[in-house]
Amino acid sequence: MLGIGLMAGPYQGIGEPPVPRWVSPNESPYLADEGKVLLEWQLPEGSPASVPFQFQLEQSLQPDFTEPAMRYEGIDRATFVTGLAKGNYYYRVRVLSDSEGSGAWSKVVEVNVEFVSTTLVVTLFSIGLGVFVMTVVSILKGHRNCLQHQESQRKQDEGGQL
Amino acid sequence: MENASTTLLHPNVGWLLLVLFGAGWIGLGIFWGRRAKSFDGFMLAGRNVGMALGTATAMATWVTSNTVMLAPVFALEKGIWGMIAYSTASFGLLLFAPLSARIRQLIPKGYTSGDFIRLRYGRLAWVLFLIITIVYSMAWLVSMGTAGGKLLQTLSGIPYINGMTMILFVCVVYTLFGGLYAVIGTDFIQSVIILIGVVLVGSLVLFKTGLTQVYQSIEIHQPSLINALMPVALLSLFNNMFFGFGEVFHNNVWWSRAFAMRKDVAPRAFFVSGLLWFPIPIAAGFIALSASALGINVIDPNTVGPLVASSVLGKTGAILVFIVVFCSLASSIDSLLAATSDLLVEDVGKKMLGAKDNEQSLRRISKLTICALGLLTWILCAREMNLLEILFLSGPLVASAIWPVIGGLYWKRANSMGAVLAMVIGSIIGLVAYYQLGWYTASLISAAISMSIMLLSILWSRNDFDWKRISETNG
Repeated sequence: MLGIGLMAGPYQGIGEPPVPRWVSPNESPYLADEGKVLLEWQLPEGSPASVPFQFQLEQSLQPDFTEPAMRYEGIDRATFVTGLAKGNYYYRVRVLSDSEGSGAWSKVVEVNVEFVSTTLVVTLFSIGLGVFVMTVVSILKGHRNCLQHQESQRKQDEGGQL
Repeated sequence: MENASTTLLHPNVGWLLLVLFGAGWIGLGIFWGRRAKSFDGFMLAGRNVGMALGTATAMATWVTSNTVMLAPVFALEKGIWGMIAYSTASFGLLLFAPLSARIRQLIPKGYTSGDFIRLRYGRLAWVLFLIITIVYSMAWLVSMGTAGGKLLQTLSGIPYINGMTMILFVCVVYTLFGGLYAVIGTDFIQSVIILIGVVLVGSLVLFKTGLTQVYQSIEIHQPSLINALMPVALLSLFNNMFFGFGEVFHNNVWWSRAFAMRKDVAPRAFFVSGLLWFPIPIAAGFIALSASALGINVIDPNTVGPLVASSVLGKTGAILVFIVVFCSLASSIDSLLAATSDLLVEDVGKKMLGAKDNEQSLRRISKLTICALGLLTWILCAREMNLLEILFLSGPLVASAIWPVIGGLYWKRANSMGAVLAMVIGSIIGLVAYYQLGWYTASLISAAISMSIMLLSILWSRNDFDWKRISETNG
């Protein structure tokens, strides 16, 4: 794996670092009903392909990023975020550079995490539990009846032989 | 943070492993296949499989590439409940233990699950059942071929199309030569490798990261994963369980094993294999949960398990993961190829189209069917379809077959109309739920609807099915 330290200062001589654009999510605000989202970005056309750009991705609960949290730093151009709790999240990404200064931030993308309704969850969970119990009971009861039937059949056969 | 853009094994190492193991499986397949002198031997391994081989084949078949890939995905996306949800698929094997005893009692000379449905419920239910099982089997095959290609690419950089082609080619060849003898024999070796590999990788990841570190990282970055009331995860628990029930109860992969094992062996073998299988998704899932603590950037959730394992264990670990993945792929693809071709030859060829009941001709048709299935799978895999989409779309279909199978095996009053309506309405409403509510509700709703219809039809029915109609006609 390539470490961050190896990538320092790769943009010398190319001028201002390019500004990433969002590929995913393709809409903002984006509704993430399972608490997960693929964040993927690309650089504008014309960016030097040979330069191994390094990116910084920030997450915040406020649209103005007053308390940002670093979500990813590295050369990948995507990250899959999971396990988000209910709420609104804001993301922005930029090219990192220690020589030319960091690039400008991308547009902010908003992700809203809204799970399915509790009523639906409770209803379906109860149905699931009921079907599970019925399935297990039916199989075990059916199996026991078959064993009893086999046993009585065996006794009958033995009685007949005697 | 570590990046996901690089692979850990050189493609040449990957190719070397593929060729070595591929040649090994083919060689063993040909060696064991020499015992398949009759069509019965080719299809059902002479109906004489013992406890060790029986347990190993059931477990290895159920540890698919989907287990290696999707169990970590479940953990990564749904956390603790996701891991447990995936493990509930083992309940299918546990409950199939008593069902297999009943199957062997009712149709000791049976060949396929289709045989049972045809004799128990008649032609309409049989045709419907065949559609469901063929759609599902193809979805399973394609999802594994796709998973295999992607995994090999992630691990070693072998281009997707080349890796997927090689896996399918090896499995088709040794299944072709050895039939179920080859499948069960290779399954035994593959199950040992899988068990050792998963336990070793899981333990080493745990040793390297530690539970506290993983928990703390999740608590900060992925809080929902440890939320006991995460809605999607709660729903996926029963959804996945019923999907698993449907897969095992209806599919010929499991029925053919029930027919192939000795009568007293089948229930014990399925039960033990279920117990052995239960911890595997939990071990695989834990590997995925530790991604955040290890600072690994995940881009494609489908490859998180191998990515973390390879990252933690280095080159040797990557080789180990590669071998485990190849074994899990082969152990399932070969089983599906054999069982689905049996179903097509026996039910469609012989019973539906009236193919000649002649040993040589049936064996030739069977081999052609295996080749055709392999080719069709390759064509579909070449399109790189979405894994979860492919697999979970077939969930409501198979879940609708749970109750027709249970009712048909145990209750005299279970009837054709009830079984047909249960499968049709259960599948349709399940598919609607898939698109309207989410994939995590589809199998659950399908199973619930199917169960309700079967129970109502049994309550209103005056049917008094004579079990002898199955055993006398069969074989």
